[in-house]
Amino acid sequence: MNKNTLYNVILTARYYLSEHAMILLDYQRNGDVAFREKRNHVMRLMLMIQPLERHYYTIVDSGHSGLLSDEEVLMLTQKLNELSMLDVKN
Amino acid sequence: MDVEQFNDASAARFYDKTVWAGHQVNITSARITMRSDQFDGLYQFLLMDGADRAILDDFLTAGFINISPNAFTRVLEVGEEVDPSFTMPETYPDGYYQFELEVMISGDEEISSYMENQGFFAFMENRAARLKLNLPEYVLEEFITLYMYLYAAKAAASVGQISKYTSFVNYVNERMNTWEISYK
Repeated sequence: MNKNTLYNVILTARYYLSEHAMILLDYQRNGDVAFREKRNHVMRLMLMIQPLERHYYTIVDSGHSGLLSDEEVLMLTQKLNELSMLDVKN
Repeated sequence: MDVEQFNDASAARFYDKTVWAGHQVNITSARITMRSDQFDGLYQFLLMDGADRAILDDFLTAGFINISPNAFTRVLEVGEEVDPSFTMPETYPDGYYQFELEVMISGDEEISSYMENQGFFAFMENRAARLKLNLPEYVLEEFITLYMYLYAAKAAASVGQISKYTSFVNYVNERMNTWEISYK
């Protein structure tokens, strides 16, 4: 995956993380019992985006290969796609 | 272009992600414009002044350039829309920033423009880090949740979701005020 494609993956994942975090904030303000589950969901998204971000910035900084293997990037990307689409309102 | 703020807010690193990044191209002018909810006006500076490619070459070859708020005093060209009374503070205040890189390449008639949005949170993050010291063990989960909202605010800012960014930032501030967490 080239770095521009990777960056687009990161931006898309950030968009969905923001969407899920907004739902989380609504749950929290309304005292919804689904808060805890949604929080774990946002946490998972965050923990998957962060290694991709570190990988990306390593590529940009060094101009060489990043921290993750191609397989790891692909696996994280696929998992992120699955989690991003899960339970998004609107 | 991608922008990453330094942890102490003393500078920001601009990454060159343009289509011509790392390639030798005949650029005739390059300029960055900064807008922020922290300022009334715009602020601009040139990466390239005529034949002097020093700053631009740094940007092109290294892949990034570090720009401190003080560096904005090195304005080489001020457009009509720029507020001449505008003065940058010593550090980047927390807030929503929009950066636009405009490049003119020799032979092209049009200016290529690259936009980047970013949330800068150095002070708020330093403040949030102090939550660990104040919170009793049983509410430590709040620290984790607020950290997630800060991360979400950055994510929202980077994709231009300003209303969500504002919601996250307001909530984090509200909670840190409740816990009487101050910065310095």
